[in-house]
Amino acid sequence: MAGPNGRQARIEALRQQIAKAQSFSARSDEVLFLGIAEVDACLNAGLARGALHEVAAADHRSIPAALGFLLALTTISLPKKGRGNPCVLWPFARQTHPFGMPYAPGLRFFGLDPSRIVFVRCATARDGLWAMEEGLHLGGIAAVIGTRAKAMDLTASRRLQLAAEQAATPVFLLRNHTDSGPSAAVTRWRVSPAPSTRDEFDFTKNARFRVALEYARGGKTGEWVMEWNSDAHSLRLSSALGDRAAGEDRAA
Amino acid sequence: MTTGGWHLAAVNSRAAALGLSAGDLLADVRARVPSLQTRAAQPEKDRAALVKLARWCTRFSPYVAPWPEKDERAGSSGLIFDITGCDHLFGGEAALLREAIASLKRLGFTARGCIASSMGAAHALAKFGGNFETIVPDGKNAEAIAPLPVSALRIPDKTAATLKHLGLKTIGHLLPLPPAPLAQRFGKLLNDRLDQALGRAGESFTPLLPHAPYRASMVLAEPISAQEHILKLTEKLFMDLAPVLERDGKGARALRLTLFRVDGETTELSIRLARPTRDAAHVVKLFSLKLDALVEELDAGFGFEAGRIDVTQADRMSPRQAAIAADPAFESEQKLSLLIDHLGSRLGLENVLRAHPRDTHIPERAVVLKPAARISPWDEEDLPIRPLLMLPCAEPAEVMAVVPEGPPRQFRWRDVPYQVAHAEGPERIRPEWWRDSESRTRDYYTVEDEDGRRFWLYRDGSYGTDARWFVHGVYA
Repeated sequence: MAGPNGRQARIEALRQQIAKAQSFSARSDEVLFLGIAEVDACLNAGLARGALHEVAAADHRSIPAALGFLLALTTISLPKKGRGNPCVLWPFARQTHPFGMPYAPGLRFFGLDPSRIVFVRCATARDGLWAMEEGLHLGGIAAVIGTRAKAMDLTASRRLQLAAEQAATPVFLLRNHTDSGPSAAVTRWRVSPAPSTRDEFDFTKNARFRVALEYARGGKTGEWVMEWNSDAHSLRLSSALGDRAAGEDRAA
Repeated sequence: MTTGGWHLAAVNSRAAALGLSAGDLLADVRARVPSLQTRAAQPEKDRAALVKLARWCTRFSPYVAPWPEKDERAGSSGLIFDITGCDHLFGGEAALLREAIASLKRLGFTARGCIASSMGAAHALAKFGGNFETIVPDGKNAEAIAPLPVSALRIPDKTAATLKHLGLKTIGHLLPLPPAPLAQRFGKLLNDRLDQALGRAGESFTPLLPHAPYRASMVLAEPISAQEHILKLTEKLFMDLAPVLERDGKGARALRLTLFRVDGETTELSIRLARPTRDAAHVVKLFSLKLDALVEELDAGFGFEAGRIDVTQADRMSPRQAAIAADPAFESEQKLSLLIDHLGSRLGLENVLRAHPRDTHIPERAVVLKPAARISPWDEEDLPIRPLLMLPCAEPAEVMAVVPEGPPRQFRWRDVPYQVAHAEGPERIRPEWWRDSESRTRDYYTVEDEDGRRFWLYRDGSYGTDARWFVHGVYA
């Protein structure tokens, strides 16, 4: 029997083995930096480009905020202008959504050009999954936005993750807040809204989110309040909750 | 059934050799040939089999159909081909006929064929001529059909029997007779049939396949079954069509690939395209994706020995197509149009969409989803911030407290109360009076609750007792 030191060494070796098994191609051009040091550190040096990422709302009423944060991540993942102008593939279910359909003029707030989004109306979750996979296989798109159907099992999730990896194209899935099913996603976020910031004329300027990184493969979890800058198309940390928060405005 | 009891619907060659023929009473025949084996006739199945065979025969000419369309007698139908312009592909009429009959023989059919300038003559000679292959030179119809029995004219049995009684046994006997008394005695049909057989009256048939403006086909020396070979064939066929399409300023919008199996089965694959194309690589890739999806179901049997591509829909397409292939934007555009067509082929092109702006300030009308082949630019001008999600229908909100002539301070929507912490507005949107006079002016406010949830609310009508509030959209 090995002593305490031996045991320590073995655990370390196992850890390395696990890290190796979990590691995925992490070349610099295939990693997306959110540009927030604290978050990028938790993400194990950025968000993998060719990977599956899931965003869930904290509760039913936070679904719009979760979608907003998901779109912010999508915009950050898109290649900078000048390198072609590839499209985003967005399959959606035919049936009604709790808060309605994405509104093209509203997408621009998150830096997405509505003409560069190809929506695919799907009758079933299976069709939606198929459309996402085919999009990754055939290429010609820069990112995939989708909804994680309740029926998506680990196998389907792994297939999608693999397809994303092979295509070096990110897939951002909106996950139902009650969904606790297993997933092959490399990151999982949970989002609720936070009071927005205002400009000097007291007009709403930047949307803010309370974001929890619940899982990051090879990384750490964390919790932040992030602010989407709709001019710079970037996220940054909000210094503290409550600076320029709702209370002040009401008092004003 | 003229007299009671069962009749023979069709006989095989051995029964025919014993002197039996279709129409005989079963009881009589049983008495003469006690060892006769019979099966119940299945006219629908016969018909279906004939249609299937006709489909397979489209390899010889795309214009083929079971014929005559109405069976005077069960099992009397054959196949009629319009071979105009097809014979040269086989090296002449004789070679085409020989190939067709030999192919049918390989499938286990005994076939007799005739090429003539009228449908009536071709039918009469194929069915009653006794030769396996007959070719009637132009203008020789009368001589060719003269020795045939009058029943070869597709006339009712009764008429044929009466003619026989009168000693008019062959078509040759009818030819010298004046038409008017003949019509008076036997009806107009007999004269019509004679005219049709002689080519004096026109006749047409409806081909099984709808007309396709562009088609190309090829018969292979060796049957193929590997997917790569099928795709090679597809490419070759489409390459034949591309120059013709280009000459006409057209591009393919819908294509059908028909593969002819050695054993008489046919397989059809159809694709639709979002935009007209003459790009063989694009078409081949789409068929390859289609084949991938079929991989389980596609049964090549002993292989495919012929193939055809029909452009079932062609649309105008400008000749310019010389985009710079080296441009990465062009390449990703190519890939995207392939993806759109591929998704559309399974989900319907009407479900692969892009948002187009519309020139209106009514929010719910400002966007329309249209098939993704078209792109409308969204101008970059500074528009007010709009909600991320819009409700399909604005939902009533119960406003509990309101700033006079201003935004609500408290409201209840979907049974949840919200305290308004911040509000912006109003943005006044007037109805388009030329569209509907019922709508009223709306005053929109963006309101944020204490948790940071933002809503797009409007007051319908001017401020007052009849004003109602609605939630129209939700911000992220």
